Amino acid sequence: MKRGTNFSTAKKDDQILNEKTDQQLIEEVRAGHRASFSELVKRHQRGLLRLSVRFMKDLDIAQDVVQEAFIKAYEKLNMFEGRASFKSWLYQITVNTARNKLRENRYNYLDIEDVQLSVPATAEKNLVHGAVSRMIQVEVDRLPFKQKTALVLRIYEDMSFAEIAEVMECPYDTAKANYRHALIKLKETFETQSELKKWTDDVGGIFMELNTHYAEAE
Amino acid sequence: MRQASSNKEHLLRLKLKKEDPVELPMDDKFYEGMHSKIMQAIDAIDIKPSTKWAKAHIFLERRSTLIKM
Repeated sequence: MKRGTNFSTAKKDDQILNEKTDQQLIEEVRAGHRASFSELVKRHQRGLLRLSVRFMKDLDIAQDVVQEAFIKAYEKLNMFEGRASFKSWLYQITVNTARNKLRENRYNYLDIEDVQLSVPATAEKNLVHGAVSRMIQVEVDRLPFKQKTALVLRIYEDMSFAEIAEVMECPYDTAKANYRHALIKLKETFETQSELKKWTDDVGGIFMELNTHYAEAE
Repeated sequence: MRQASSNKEHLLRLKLKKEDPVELPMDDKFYEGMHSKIMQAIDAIDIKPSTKWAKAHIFLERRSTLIKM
């Protein structure tokens, strides 16, 4: 009976935490209520892991990045000013942590800027015969870090340019320009690879219609 | 013109998203384990107190991150 009561109380507590906004939970954490941070972790860990995997290419390392990001966020919670959303702030910390990790281990993992130099011609040729999705991923990984970040946040995280600007700590137009440059670079590569060119034709040739006005709309 | 451009961009995003090769674990237990690990690490640390230098610190940190990127 007592156990049942405890269970229903815990469930009720979870429900109350669920209904709170990130900002309310942050205030509670600041006031010393650590359990509220647990709810923030629950809310955002999947998104952060998804983002981190795209940069780190390894689930274990990506998990480490997410853990490090949450630790940094917790330690610096008093510095969170609330100008951006908590989600954007967390994503910003995760992107920076991933970036630093890639820099620290640039001889152990493939850094984004190094990929272009380190993929041998034969591997590239083999990739042409592989799945289109893998090929697209290879091309996305070859993009400079800022362009890749803008592209990943826009395409896979469905973020607006305003949110991307918050995560990348740059002006709105810069976020947009990075995204547009990423698309243009992909387009140029797709034009030279027959499999990818075929894919763009299959999806209605929309990639080839890319022009300077392409990413203008929000 | 702007609307057409927006629709095309939206379509392209959908197509690229469809080809996304990244697969994450679907198992709730995986995320429960991850959550526990994170909270264990959090239990061992404290929130840094806000100081009068906090704003300057944020500004300098932002600048250094922007330079690195």
